[in-house]
Amino acid sequence: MTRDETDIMLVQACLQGDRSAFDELVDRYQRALYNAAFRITGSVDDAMDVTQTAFVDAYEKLHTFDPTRRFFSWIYRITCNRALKLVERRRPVAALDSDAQSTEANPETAYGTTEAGEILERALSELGPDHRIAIVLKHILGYSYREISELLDVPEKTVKSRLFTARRRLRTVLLEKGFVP
Amino acid sequence: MKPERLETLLWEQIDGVIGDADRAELEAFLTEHHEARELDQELRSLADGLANIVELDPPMELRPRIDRALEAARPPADTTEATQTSAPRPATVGKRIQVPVLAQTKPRHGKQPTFRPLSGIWSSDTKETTTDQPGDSLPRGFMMATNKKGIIGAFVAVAVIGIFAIGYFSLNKVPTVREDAVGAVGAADRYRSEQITAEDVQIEQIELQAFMQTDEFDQLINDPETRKLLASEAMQQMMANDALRMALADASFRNALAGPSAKVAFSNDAVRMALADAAVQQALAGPSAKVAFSNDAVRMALADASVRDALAGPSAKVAFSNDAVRMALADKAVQNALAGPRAKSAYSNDAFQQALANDAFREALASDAFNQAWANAGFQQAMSNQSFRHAIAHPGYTSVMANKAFSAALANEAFAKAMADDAFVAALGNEAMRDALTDQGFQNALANASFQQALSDQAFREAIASDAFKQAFSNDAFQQAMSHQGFQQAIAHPGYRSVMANKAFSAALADEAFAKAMGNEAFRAALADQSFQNALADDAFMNAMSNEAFQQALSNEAFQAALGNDAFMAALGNDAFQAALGNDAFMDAMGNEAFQQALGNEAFQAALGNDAFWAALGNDAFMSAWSNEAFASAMAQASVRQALASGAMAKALENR
Repeated sequence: MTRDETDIMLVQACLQGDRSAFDELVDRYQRALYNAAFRITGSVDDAMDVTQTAFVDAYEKLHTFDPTRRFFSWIYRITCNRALKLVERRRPVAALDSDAQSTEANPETAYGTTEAGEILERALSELGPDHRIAIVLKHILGYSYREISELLDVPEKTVKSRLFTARRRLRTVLLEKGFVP
Repeated sequence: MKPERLETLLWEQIDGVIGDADRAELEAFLTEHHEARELDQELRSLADGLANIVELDPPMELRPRIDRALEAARPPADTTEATQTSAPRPATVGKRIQVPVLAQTKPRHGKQPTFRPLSGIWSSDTKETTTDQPGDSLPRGFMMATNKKGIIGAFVAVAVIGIFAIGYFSLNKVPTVREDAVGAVGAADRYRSEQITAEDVQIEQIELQAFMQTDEFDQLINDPETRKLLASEAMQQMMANDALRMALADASFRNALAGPSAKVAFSNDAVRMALADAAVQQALAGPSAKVAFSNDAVRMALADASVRDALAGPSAKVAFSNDAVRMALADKAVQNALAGPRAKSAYSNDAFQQALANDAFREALASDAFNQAWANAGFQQAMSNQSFRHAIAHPGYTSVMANKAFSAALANEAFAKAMADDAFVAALGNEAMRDALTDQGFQNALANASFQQALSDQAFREAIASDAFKQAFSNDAFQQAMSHQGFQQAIAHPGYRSVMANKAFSAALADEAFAKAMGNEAFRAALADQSFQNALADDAFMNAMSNEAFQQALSNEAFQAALGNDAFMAALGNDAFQAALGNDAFMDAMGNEAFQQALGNEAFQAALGNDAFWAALGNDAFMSAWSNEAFASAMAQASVRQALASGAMAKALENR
């Protein structure tokens, strides 16, 4: 039985009154959703708010969920939409991490180091939400083009195009910061 | 190629989605354009950097916040009736307490019962005795749920908790019921009258009692699947294990077992059979298992059929009995990795299970480096590859896993990525390659950053997957060369790596003379030389490499020394020259600097095709002339070289 299939079982159990089944879904996805929310909002507090609200939205509207689709895709989209709306309301985007702001870029630093990781995170926070989430899904969460297409409900072609622009923009931001791989 | 297309293709290659035609086009372009190679490295470095950004752990307060918010939320729209299941049901409490299995078994008269009576209790002929039990008194929502296929299974693990509790009571005497619980646990009086005092029970009885008063306990004892499980021999054996019963005292362990994923797992026959195994029981009772079960990812993994089947495998049982494995399982990174979709697919694989039964593999499994590797996406991806799993089950491979250099390499991102590559995995499927892995020189090479860097290159991986290269791996001299820094530096060079994908070069690799040459310092130094690497990219040179005479020449020290000479390198592509390589005298002359200089001259190269010239090569005077400065400077003159080319000079020298 795949994870998607057990998700559907849990949804059915929840719809039949078993709240603990939804708790299991929270167990499964709170980490991924929180990460997505954090990458979009750039704030721990906002990410927690978004994750919490997304789960409540999903719970209250569980009867509208189409069991022929993936539950994770459905709740992931809810989370991203929530996070994006929040960001829209409070532009410009805050930096991801206050520590990262003080990090001086060292031109000789490799991307693999902790310092460079912080610089990358900071550079990511300067991308637009669409581009940022594309990079997060591809490179940090490791989804394929097809999976990203499902999660974001856009054609694969759009995913490729978005990723291309996002990566190019990210390189530009890094170069502007004097960071050369 | 336009910059945009180049960048697109490079990303497609990095993402692993590039088509064959595009790859060929890209590789050709990379070979010819230094800037493109630099961009390739930059993008790869960026991708690696992004991949190194770790997922964040949600703050501890997030989950309680979600729980509180869900408590206050409206239930899903069409579940009004069903949600009643979570409401307290005092009217049924008294009835359900009449059900506990031991209450309906034969009186024990102070004697500890075995689990044998359990099967009797739930057998068909005794079902009638429970017909007054709350099958019909269950809430409607619950009945709806249990009528759904699959949902029944979801309650089984709660049943397991109950079984543990029941088993615990049966084997450790039944706990005294607290005063405040008497009203809810009416039937407990029956136990108390003939059973024990509080001090007889050593571990958290209160929690177990509390559990017995929950809806879940009520549900489990009325569930047919639970009855089936209770009746199973495996479960009875399980409960006979002291350590496991002790483990049940841990609240987090019990909570984990009560999760829906665990429920699904315990409904699996294979899992239940595995649970009857002493080694599995010991493993479950250990602190590592408790930690593991409290991990969300592990619990989720338990819902996967392949994981459950693997747990039931004999090799898994052997592995569980190993302390090192259990310790490794306590590591969160390992748990998360093992619970990942890619790793999970490995469990059901015979080869992986076979590997688990191997001491060296398990030892490696418990090493820090291996733990790090498990957490690496590339390694996990490799684990999902059947060829890789087959490779790691090979004794040669499993023994190498325990090698420190190899373990260190596993923790390297480039190496782990390489492991996920089809070409590399295919290479591991080759016996010679696996045998090579056991070689210290090769292992040292694996731990070398340059070699690891080379492994991240597609052309290099494809090259090492070739039969010729794998054959080379089985050659001692080649393996020795692999451990040499000069060789490692050479293979890290993009020009060299791209040439490795060349068939002629691969063919040369399979040649013993070439492999022997690899063991020569001058040759290795030449390999690290830019001009030599450029020569390697030349078709004529590559054709020469597949020539037997040339390969023999490669093992000649003088020849190897000459390899550093530009003129000499230019001459290598000449047919006549390649033929000359088979001549002993010629090979001796190779060590002469003037000769090497002359080799770069067209006229001289033309002379190489002249029989008289070859005859002259056997003449001492002719050969000694090469070390003469005047002769060498004369060779710089066109007329002299023409004479040489005509064969007249050679003939004259021969006749002298």
